[in-house]
Amino acid sequence: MNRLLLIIFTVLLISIVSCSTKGFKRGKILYDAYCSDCHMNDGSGLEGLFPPIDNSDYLKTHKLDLACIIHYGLEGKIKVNGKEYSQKMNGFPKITESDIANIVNYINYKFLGDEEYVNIKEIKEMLSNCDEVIE
Amino acid sequence: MKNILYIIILLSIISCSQEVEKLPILGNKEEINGKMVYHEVGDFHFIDQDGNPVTPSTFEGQNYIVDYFFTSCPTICPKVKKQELRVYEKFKNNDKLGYLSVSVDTKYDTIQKLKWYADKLNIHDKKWKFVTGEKDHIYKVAESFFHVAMDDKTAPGGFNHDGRLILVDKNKHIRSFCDGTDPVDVDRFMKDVENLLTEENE
Repeated sequence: MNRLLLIIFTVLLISIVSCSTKGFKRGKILYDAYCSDCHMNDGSGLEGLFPPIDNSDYLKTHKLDLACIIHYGLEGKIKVNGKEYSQKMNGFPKITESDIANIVNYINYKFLGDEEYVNIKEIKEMLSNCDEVIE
Repeated sequence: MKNILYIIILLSIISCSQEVEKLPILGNKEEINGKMVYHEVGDFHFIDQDGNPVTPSTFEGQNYIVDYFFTSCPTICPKVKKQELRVYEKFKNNDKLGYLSVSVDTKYDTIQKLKWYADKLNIHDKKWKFVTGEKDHIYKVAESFFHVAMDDKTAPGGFNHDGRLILVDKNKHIRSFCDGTDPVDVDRFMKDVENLLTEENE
């Protein structure tokens, strides 16, 4: 009886773990491919050249801009966790809306401690309001 | 009981003293008049981020780590620099170790740009030279630095994109290298650097 309980418990645990990381698998692949060269796989950035993603106060207060930043890039001075950055980031206009959603969700979950899920419709909305962000 | 203790102490001393293995000298070698002659890195003349000339004599009596990069590199360079900073932090207080980062982008990477880059990396240390020079010369010297590391000369981008860190000793010999994008390989490389520095202290 005890053994049966243990098996059930293990199966449940595995399914919970696999479910909670499943949605971010593609996001991680995309992040590693497009973002990690500059922002590093662990999101730590590089000194004064590339800002950190991990625990970035800038991203926490610019959540709705993230899709636009990925699509159009970012130019000008920004302050992240008390440090100033001015290096231009090139955008990635070829990344599809659904893949932007994957990246945004991965970044939110992994680096910003936010489990709220952003869907493609919301990404579309964000992308249609980019003018204010990119100036 | 006392005897056993002595034996244990003796054994531990022996095993410790054998731990440091002498690093090999890498690259081509040939025997000339009964003497082994090893590959030496060629002469170079570059200009650093402060506008000062950099030649082999800049590193006289010093070992140094070489890498090729460019400041606007969007691919592997930042990852290599991240790892190189790790090496730098570890050996920060060792004056017997210098750093030579050679830019391959002679057009865009001016002295001012190199200075800006060093500042952004938070490097304000005379030991680390970010240099530029004449394009042909930079590429020619690279062949002698990366002599041991060029597996595939036909690979796209060539040496300037392979992200290696090369360890050169006081005698212009190449003693170790690693893939600067791979933290595990860089860990191994740091042990080699440590061994070289210990070897010289003996």
